[in-house]
Amino acid sequence: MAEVSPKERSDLRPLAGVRVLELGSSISAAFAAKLLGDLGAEVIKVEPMSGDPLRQQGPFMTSAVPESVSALFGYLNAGKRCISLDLGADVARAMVTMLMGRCDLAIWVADDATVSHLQDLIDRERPQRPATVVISPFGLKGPRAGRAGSAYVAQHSGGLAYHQAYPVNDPSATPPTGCADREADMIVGLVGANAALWALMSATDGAPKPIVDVSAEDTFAYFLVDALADLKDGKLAPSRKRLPDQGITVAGGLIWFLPCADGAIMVSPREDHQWARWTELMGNPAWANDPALCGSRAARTVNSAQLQVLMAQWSATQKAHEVFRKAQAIRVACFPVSTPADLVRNDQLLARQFFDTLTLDGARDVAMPGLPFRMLSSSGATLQHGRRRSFPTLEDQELECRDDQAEHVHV
Amino acid sequence: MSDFTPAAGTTKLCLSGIRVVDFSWVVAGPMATKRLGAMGAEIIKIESAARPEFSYRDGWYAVINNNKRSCTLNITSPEGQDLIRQIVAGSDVVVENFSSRVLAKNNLGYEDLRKVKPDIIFVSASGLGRTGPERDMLAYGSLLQAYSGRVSLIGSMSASLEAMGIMPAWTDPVTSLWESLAIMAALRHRAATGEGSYIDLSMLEATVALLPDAVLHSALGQPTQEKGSEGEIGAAPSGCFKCLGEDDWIAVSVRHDAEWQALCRAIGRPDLADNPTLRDRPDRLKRKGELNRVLADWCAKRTLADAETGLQAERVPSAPSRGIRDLLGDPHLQERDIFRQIGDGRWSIALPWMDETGSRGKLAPAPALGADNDYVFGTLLGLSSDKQAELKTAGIIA
Repeated sequence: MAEVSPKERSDLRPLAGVRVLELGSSISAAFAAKLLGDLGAEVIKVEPMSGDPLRQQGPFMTSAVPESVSALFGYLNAGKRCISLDLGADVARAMVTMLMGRCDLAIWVADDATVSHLQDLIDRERPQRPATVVISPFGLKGPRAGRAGSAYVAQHSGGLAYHQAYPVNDPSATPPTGCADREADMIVGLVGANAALWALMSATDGAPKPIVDVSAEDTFAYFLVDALADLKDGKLAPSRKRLPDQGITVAGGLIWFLPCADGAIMVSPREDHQWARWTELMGNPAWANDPALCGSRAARTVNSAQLQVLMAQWSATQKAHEVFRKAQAIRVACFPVSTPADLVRNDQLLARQFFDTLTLDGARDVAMPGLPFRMLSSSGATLQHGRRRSFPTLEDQELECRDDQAEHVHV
Repeated sequence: MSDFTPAAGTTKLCLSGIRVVDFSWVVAGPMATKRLGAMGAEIIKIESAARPEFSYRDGWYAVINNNKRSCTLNITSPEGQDLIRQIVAGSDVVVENFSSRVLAKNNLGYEDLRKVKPDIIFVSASGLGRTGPERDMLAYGSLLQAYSGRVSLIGSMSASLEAMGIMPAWTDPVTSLWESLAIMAALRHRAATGEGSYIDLSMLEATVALLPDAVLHSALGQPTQEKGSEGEIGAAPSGCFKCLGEDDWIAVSVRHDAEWQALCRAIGRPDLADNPTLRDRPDRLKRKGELNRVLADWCAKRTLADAETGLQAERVPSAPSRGIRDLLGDPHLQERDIFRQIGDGRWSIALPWMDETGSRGKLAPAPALGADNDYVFGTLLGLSSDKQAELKTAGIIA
């Protein structure tokens, strides 16, 4: 056994000893498997002979010929063992079966390229099959199973996009609004990782291992807690059209969006004592002395739109980060609206070593999101943060295979 | 006592035998512990009989506090703290999301509790994390959507917060999923090594962790190309398109060449399929606005049902955009049994995944306040009726 350095001894790897097979191309599946890898599992990723199509998705670390290098792919797959197989070949399919027999967990993308092979394994290879998570747009069961979709589409059919644009003044001109960035794919991946641990912990020796059906549509329906509660409490308006008395109160209390001279803030001085400190920060404007306008939480709720206009007159002359610091100093919940550029220089994120680093041959580095929690074991081992990970290439890895299978596997 | 009858079927109660002491409130922690309860863990929710917010059991509470027992006690008293330590000594996981100093001030922090349970898994969720220069800032999940950058990537900023993704809650449910993931990983680590864990979970990080495109572009010094909320990043055409009905919209996303050819067949545009300047995805991405307008024109002349049928006939990723009313009546989701009426008929939501038998774990009604005091103080801690009465009189338990 290789000697373990003191640093490595202190690394916490809660999923050490777990081997995961990732098959199929999707951000959701890649993210689910990545999370298990970040927690210490060994992940083997099977790509087509031409490579995962995500290798062609930007942003790119370099666009130099002959091949551009996808930072997105690197972020999702750093630390995995990447191999390529021609799943159209019987021998390659046999290899997948063999690999599955050597893994504790399989994460599948139920797309047109893999679904028939998946069905084979479910039907015929059950004794060799590990606990299996299957990720698809609409699930494996139900009238819409197998339809063409994606996480982006599923956030609409699953209701989240509709309720993210609810209420609006003009429903016919304001479409339902999707999640930011790659969130739709990523959240399905996060659910997939949870489901994977459920499957792993549910698997028992000698019994068929569970097959877990992760539907992107279910994932978004799962988020509709407030819509479901409001509907059943009779508080949900019949359409997306904003009613005359629908203000800007959102769950938990009043929240105001206020433009600043150099950006914007969101602030929630919801309690009376917080409101008093907030108005003092604004210089005690005369309007703040009107009890009918803002003397109680109820008054502020009724007059929220009018108050927004009045506060915006002040905030437009202020710098967002200065207001944020001053408000927090007096215990008023207030934050600037960050831009993407703000994130990678955020003091709090940097202090907590939230970002890992993806490195391309040691020559080009890029910060990438890490795990959002710190974990310390009772023996003092810590989950690593601020890790430096090499870009995953097909050529990097070696995997045992028989000679007669070699032409179908790129290792 | 709460109704703790497991659902019929082959429920995977893989966390049976795990006991969780749940101090969490609002949304993130409760959603995480509901999920652990669905997987078989016994959740003991510690609540206050004195604070009025704990008496509210309708609305959100009923949807996110299933699968739990409720016990009420006063954690600010030394006697109440001693009872907590006794409960923790027989438990496996502690979950909390108080402001930064509450549990430590009440002698119930991680260092206090590991003295009575050395292998305890202690999860502390907070807005910005328990370390760092901003650890004590006052934060709500909705505001962290601004600080995380998410708000700047959804819709257009407006005074009325319209279509900016502020609702439904995002940061809290997302945090809950990270929380349950971390707890399950820690449980597996404990099973393998006998070691407990301390977990410090940041809601800010939980949100930023799902924004890789923005982070990577910024880290590379490149401007963000697409926000993602109006159409799928890297797909063209992609977006949500208006059909003939007043509020009828269909989401469509064309990610690769085969789907592009399929779309061209579906909308009857062989000329586009044959156009060499549109054959490759990068070229289509450059003309995303133009291609979206072509698709928008096609959708605008059709009913939602016709558009969906035509697109799906060629296997173009597509689906209507729908609200909760439609979802509850949807045969597909009904067969998948994710929304359920339980107990007295209140609706709730089961686990967001299912096994091959259709099982989504347990889904029991949320408990009444203090419904399980007898179980916790009598059965678990072995306190006599006289002792319980004495503690009630003293205001230690309710």
